[in-house]
Amino acid sequence: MRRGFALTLSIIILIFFLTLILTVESQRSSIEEQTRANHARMRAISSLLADIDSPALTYSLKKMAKRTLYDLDMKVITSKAYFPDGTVRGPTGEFCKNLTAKYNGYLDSLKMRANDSGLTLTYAEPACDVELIGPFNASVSLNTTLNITGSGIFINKSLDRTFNFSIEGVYDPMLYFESAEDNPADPSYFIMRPIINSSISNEKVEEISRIADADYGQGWAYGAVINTTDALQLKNDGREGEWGVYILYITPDELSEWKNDLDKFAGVIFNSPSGGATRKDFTAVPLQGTDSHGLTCTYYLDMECWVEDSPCINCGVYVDGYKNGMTASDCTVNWDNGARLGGPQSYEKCNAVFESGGKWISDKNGLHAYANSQGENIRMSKPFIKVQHLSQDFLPDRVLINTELDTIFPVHSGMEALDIEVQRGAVLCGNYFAMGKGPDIFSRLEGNINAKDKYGIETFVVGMWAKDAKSKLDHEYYSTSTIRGNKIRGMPGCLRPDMCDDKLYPEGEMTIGRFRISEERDNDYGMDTLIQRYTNTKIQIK
Amino acid sequence: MERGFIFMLDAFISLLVVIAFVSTLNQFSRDYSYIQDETLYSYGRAIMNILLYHTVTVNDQEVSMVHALSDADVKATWNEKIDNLIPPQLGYSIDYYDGSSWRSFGLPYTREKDGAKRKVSVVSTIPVIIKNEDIEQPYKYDNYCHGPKTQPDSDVCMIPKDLYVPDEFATADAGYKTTFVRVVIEV
Repeated sequence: MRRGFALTLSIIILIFFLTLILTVESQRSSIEEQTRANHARMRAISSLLADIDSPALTYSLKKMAKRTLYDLDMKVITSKAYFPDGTVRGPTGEFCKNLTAKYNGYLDSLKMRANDSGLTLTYAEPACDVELIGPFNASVSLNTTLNITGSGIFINKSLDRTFNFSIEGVYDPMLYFESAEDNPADPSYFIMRPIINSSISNEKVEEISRIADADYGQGWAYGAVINTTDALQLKNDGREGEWGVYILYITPDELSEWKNDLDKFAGVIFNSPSGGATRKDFTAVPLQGTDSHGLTCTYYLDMECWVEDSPCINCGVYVDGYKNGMTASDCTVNWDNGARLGGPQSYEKCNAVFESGGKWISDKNGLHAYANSQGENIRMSKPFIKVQHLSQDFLPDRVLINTELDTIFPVHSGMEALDIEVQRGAVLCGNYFAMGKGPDIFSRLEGNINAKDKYGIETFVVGMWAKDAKSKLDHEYYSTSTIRGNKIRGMPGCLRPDMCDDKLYPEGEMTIGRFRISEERDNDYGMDTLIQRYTNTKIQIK
Repeated sequence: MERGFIFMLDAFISLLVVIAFVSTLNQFSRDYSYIQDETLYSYGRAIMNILLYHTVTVNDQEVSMVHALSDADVKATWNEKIDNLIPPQLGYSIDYYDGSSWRSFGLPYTREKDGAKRKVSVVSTIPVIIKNEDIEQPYKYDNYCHGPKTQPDSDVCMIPKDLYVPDEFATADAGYKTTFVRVVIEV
């Protein structure tokens, strides 16, 4: 009996201890479960913090900011309405309003993610500010505070981000708006142009590359340069008709073979190492004239006679005369019939010019004549330039033959061959320049065409729509005040290839001549030396 | 006889009690599978941190790897350096959410594991932009810098890659849509 009692008691004790063990184990397991849940929450928190502290978020915000700018841009384009003046930039501007709305979307997604882990995330309304830090870059600051709570957890974290983003690639709202206003009936005229920083630096665009000074030449022409080998290839291919778009580069030993074809090219660069022309001076050469009463009078000229050195294209004689007095104050000379000498003097080859006529013209400097040794008019119909200092392997892609007047006289300075590819590239590519003299991107969203912002940008408008005689810098062209421009030699007037198609538009009508830039700005783009000052080379004597 | 019966009864009850105890104790036994999950998660998180914190240079910009997964250099870097960090017995995949389902970036961001039994995902909260290559750029180079008489040197013109393609998010929706990336680790 006692033994049975002892046995039962031992079983009870065993059960008691087993129950105790089970209870402890149950509590340990419960604690472990709870710990694991807390661990999961802590893991979620650390993941959230790791995410928002990463540089990846900054990049996402940059893209968010650019998208915001794009949205504002498209709002102007689709609604054809500028934002009211002063409403885009700054902490309370449209940009920040739109960006904050997007940012809140992201913060809400954080909220949901925290909620999935049993946490509660709240955030303060983000503070936003935006300013331009360069013509093509803006700086944005976004600041907010996050609170993460749940099961005894409380985390307060500042989320401050300042980042820069590029405005490049978004459409220029002002250019679209204004071009649409200019030709509302024809959407093909609306300019949708992305803002791209030109790869031509401001320093580079100010330079104009002088390929060579010239001894003398005539007129001006712009085009691709072709040598005689390539020209011969065109001839053999039956494409001789294409010569008209090329400038022929020729040397003296090639002259005899090509002399009869020179007029078929857009222009000629004649590389002659022998120099230009030999100069002979004559003081006070008397010329016969008549006064207002029909009486004979004498007109005195200080004469310079230039005899072109061989080899030469047309081997002519060129005369410059500067008035040195008259026997009657109203003495005039009939230049159209040639100048008649007052007495028997020998002027060698220059006689041909004086006696037989040649072709007399005048400009602000005096009188000029040209003729060949037989007194015939030797004027070339196409522009040419004669240089001394070009090497045999000189062959630039394109060149501008540039002379001040449409004459062949050697006395005029400024005859040169220029490489103006930089200027053409600046105009043709439709990129943007930062000269600090136009409206910046925010002013463009607000339609402040005449703004001269610190980070102003500008581009050129060329093409069918840009017909007016205004400067083709975009903000000058669309300015509320008329800003006229000077024609610039060699500049393109077409933005798309078809606008320069000779079959659609006459040669010279669209390709050149429409481009203009204001006197205030031509120097910024190295175009001041390219201004087409004279439209008519034959100025009558007064 | 009676004593023997009581003894046997006690022994039987003890056996039942021990069986019940062992059975209950087994119920409270520790589940060590979470340790495996933790290991997988730590690998996934480590990979995600590499994606978020490791920056690469793409088009002259410092970009976190997660934003440049389609870049050829980044793919090469992944193959050469990062893939080796993940133990060979693990499979993985980097996916993005296209608005309705998760889609894989494909190679080289995938290593398949046949017969995988456990799988852990680490999802980032960083919005990632997935460029839509199908969207036609609105502004073409040829329209503005081409032509027999007007073609300037190519280096002075704009470069198409510089253009901002607005709908570069995964959806063509006009609004701002976030797309997330996840790393899946499996064993």
